[in-house]
Amino acid sequence: MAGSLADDDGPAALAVDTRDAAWFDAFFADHATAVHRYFVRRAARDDAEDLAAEVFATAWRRRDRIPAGFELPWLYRTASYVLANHRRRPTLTLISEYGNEQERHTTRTADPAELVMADQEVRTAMARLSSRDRSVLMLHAWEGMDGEGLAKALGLTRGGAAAALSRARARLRQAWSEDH
Amino acid sequence: MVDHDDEALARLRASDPATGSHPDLRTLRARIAGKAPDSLGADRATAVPDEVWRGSRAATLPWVAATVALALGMGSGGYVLGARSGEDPGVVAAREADVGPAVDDALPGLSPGAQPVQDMEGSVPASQDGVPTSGGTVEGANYDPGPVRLVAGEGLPEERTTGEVRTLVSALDAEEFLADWARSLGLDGAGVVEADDLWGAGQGLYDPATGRMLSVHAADGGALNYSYEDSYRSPWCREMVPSDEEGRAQMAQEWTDAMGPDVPMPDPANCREVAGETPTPEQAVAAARDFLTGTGVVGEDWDLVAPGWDDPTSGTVAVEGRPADSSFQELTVTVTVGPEGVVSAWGVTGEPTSLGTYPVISPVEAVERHGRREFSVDYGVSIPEDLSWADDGASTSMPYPEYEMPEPTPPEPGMKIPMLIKDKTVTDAELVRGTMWTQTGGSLEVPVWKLLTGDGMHYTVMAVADEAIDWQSWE
Repeated sequence: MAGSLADDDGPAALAVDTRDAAWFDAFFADHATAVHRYFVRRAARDDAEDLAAEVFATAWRRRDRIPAGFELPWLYRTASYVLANHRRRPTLTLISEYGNEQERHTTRTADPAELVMADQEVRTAMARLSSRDRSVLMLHAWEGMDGEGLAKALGLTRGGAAAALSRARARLRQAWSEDH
Repeated sequence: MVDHDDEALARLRASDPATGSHPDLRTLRARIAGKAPDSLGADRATAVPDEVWRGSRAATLPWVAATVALALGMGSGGYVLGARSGEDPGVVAAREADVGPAVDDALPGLSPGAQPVQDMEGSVPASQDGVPTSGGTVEGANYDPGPVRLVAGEGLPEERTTGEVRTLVSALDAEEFLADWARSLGLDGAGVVEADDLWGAGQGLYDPATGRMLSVHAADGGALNYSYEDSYRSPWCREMVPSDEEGRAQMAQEWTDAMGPDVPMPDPANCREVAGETPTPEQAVAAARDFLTGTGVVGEDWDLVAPGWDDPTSGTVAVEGRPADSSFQELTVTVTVGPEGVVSAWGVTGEPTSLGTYPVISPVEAVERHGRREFSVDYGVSIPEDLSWADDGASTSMPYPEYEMPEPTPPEPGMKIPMLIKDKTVTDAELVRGTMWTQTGGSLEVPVWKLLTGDGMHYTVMAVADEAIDWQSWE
């Protein structure tokens, strides 16, 4: 069935079945692993479960706004907000863990996804790109988003998402070619 | 659309930090229940495992105050009733207040308050023993709540066989394909500009007068990728140029690098107001088929459908197609049709080409192979039935099981370390075909053992024998 964007203002924009607990069970079963992996890729692994739970709790509260057929892109978009909020939270650091200046500056402001990439060459190339380009490329390469799904995950129209992906890919090629 | 020649993107895919990651779905579901108890249903009693509330995990739940835990009777393995019947609404309200607004505020376009919760009375039967049930009327959705170890059942065949491996190869000359296609679209007249690399999509043609673009990209010895864009008739025309100054400057530089300084960049001022009604799905499919005839690579043997997930404000309909009965997932085409015709199209073409007949391991060997990380995790294979929607709208072809989880194990000195795992017996096996990404050799269609277990689930394993695999390493 046709769905509309989750940020449409019109009431009853969706023609969906009753979204009750049984629906949510299936919804969770379908997408839990994907959402959890989203956070494994971008946050400390210990935080991934909490963050994923936050996304699904939000999905439950907003379940009537989730566009049918685009549930996963909607979840990824919500996950991006949850992640942004998570990164803004102040963290407690034990006094004993304070080392030299270099250690202290390993903070959440760094993109954890860069830190966990084992491929040094890829990490180097990605580090040359803007945060926006990295986000687009990771959604495409790791979450497999493109076309309409990518557009909804980014909160863009399809043309905008296609253009963003095309530019990001071109810049990645350029960054890659600097070392090859 | 896969660009096999894009090494950087392929390496990025391969560097996925989540490879092999498998969440503990039980505890995850319990955490969600802690944040949104209503999601369990009005009459469901759920055992919330102690490990969610104690120890290091509890320390990562800043919104779980001690008072909340006490109110819920937690601490020694308590039960949380559905919010409607048993929970202190004040506790629920506090929890949502702690967690909700920051996220709600960050979701633009959404109304500030929650939508009315629908009545969920009796929608999910309560289990008799307090263990979560699956919701018996839900079919199709399925998952293992923990790691699985496969065991070969008695009578599982031990004989080897053979199977074909195929790849996509296009015999088309990219330049000739582009020229023929352009001619069929009237994109070959004066004023049309050629580019070696059009917008990162390969060699192409651009008509500044109409804003139309064609491009093709052929991977060495592989498939051919093609795309078309009628940018001035696109509903997203005005968004083609970034709104920020830095983005515009970068785009202008990239354009000049590709097209030269004398070819003007697409100008949003030339975007057309497209008149007319949104095409019906049938009209869109017909228009797409007509359009694709000009490519010469999409014929009557292709199934074209309009899936129906379009943005209704765009006035366009997306049409997707693939050859009937094809298992090559990348052999697809997508066309967007508006009131005045095709707005964009992109696809992959090539002929499934046999690489030969390869030795295939036995089902018993496949069970052993499933236990090896490089096959169960790193080189997983996908089969068409696992990627398509079943007729009843379920997301997989496998059943939704009920399961009983072991009781929580309080830590005690000298205890054995509890680790969840399920041994499943493979009772049958089917040799099917699937797709795998080989990292250095692109995408291949390979024989796949579909290993069937007694609970109705299946597990896939690439079936080509070890002696036919070239394990490459890097320096």
